[in-house]
Amino acid sequence: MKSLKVAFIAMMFAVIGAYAQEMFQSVPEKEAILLQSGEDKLYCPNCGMNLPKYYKTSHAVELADGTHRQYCSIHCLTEEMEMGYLRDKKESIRSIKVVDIVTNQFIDAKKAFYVVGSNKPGTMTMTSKYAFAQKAQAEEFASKNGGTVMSFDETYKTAVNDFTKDMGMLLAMKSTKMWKMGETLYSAKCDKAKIETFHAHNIGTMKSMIRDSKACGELDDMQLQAISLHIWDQKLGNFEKQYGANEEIKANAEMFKKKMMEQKNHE
Amino acid sequence: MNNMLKIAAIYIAAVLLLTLSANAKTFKEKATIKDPVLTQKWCSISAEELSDTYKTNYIAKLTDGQTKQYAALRFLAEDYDAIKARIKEILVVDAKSQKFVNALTAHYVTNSKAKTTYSKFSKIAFENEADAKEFVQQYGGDIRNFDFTLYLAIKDLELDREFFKAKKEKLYKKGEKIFERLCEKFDPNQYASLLDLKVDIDEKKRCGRLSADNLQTVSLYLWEVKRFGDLKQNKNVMKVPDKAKCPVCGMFVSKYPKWAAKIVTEEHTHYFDGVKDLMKFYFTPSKFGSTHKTEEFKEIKVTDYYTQNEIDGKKAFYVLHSNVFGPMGNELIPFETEKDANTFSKEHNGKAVLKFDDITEAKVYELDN
Repeated sequence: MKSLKVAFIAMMFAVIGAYAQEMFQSVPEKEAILLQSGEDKLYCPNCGMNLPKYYKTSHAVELADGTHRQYCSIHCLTEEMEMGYLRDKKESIRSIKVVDIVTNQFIDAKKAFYVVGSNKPGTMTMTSKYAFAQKAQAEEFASKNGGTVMSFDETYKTAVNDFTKDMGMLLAMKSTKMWKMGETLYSAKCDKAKIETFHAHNIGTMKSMIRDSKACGELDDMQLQAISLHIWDQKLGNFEKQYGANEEIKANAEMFKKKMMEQKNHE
Repeated sequence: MNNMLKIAAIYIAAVLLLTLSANAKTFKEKATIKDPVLTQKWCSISAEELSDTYKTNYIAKLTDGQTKQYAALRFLAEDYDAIKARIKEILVVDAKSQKFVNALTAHYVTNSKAKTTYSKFSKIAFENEADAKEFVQQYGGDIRNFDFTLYLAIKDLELDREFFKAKKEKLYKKGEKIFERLCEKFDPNQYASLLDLKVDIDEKKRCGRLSADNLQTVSLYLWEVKRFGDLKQNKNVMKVPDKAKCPVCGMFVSKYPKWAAKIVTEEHTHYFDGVKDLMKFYFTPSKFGSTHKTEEFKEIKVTDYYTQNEIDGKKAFYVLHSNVFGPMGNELIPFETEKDANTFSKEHNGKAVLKFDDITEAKVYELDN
């Protein structure tokens, strides 16, 4: 129970303090390896988040045609693999890659050593997962920060099993913070007619279109993310379409909201 | 030379096409054992023939004594919010032995190339992990546990509905023709479920002799289209917004007009897909995340089981523990007059007829056991 609380507080920092520079996951944009091409290469195609900001948990798949899809986290990789874009394209996956947090280089995920459940914040999850090329370095990290050393397959399974819980946490965060912020900004700053002409296959592309068109003026990345989430999830109804039927996610979200309130009152 | 190249290209294309089509492998869902376990003939939700997709069948045994059997996980997923509070046991057919086994400990192959009838992405269960692995060797896919597979099935509901939409539109048209030509006129709103309706048409030969396909088609049309059209003719029926969800179970109330009930407070209206859920909310609103107090609930409306009229819930008479089940199982079934309540109770083995003020929270929860 205590470890859950620690994980939760860490998560609160990761999401709410997401845009403060001192985040454990972040690297300067210049140092981040971006494997996607195109205007939207800076963003996770599954959730729209800024890849350099979550660089140390970044994953990517290389497809048969040589192109990549790069994700902010193994959570988003899991979502696309199990139920999203990659669901019926598994045969065209040439390799799965992950960032080694020591060298900040992409390595073969299947050969990586993951530390799962350390006290460092996770991305899109309550159970953080960081990868290492060297086993000794993973073990050292785990002895310092807690967590268990696992293979990719075991880590992926953890992500799958945590999925509903993590979605509940994300819904709680979105509905108490990001969607509200996005809605306020959208009604105050955006050229609505212009945005209605945008067609995008994923939220990352949508986000880059809003940025490049300046349809909402000059924005920092948090504002841009909030507006994109509001448009993608709420105005286009994608959240309801994907998760509307799932009462378990909603119940989990209510549980997290309660915890957030308790935490707030405690402070 | 040019011709040679062309022929080669055509040859390669043909081979490619063949390999691609061979990739979508056929998995036969029909039972190949002698005595498949069929607790009923048709699926509790879709009313489709259970034996046709036997290898993907599920059985849910509920605490109130009901047993439901589903043609596939998709239909269990569709019913899940209604049954989740009453589950005693869930069983699934092990695709290898074709015997029912505990669904919670089974191994599921998801996202494989095996095609099944009711879902774009198949989900096939095995009791032993080794059998699941063998299946993956042949068809690809991943091995997942029950919770995640159910999660996928719930998420796929929208996708699968879209996927079958065009087919359904055609069926509705055909069903309408069958109904107009072959059936006696009767009220599709008198039934508690699609399955009840289909069973009644079949037993009473309301449409004469029908083929299995035509029986299913006309039942679907009556349940999913005509039922709502007929209801609109009745001006006294409760108006339920399309998006209103029951605060107790999370289900869309407008899908179950026969069971619709509501509590009106000064600020807003709460809709329920049955009096049982309404009463659960009425006695302890805080249990369902509401800050209301029971004393605030002055106006309560329910739907008379016979007339479908919206009536005053505080003046109605309720039949408990009858053999008629609502979407949420055992119910308190409302009638405007005591006479109607007694008639219904006699016909359907009711155990009690209560006035609103005689209903207690304990009696409500007793319905689930």
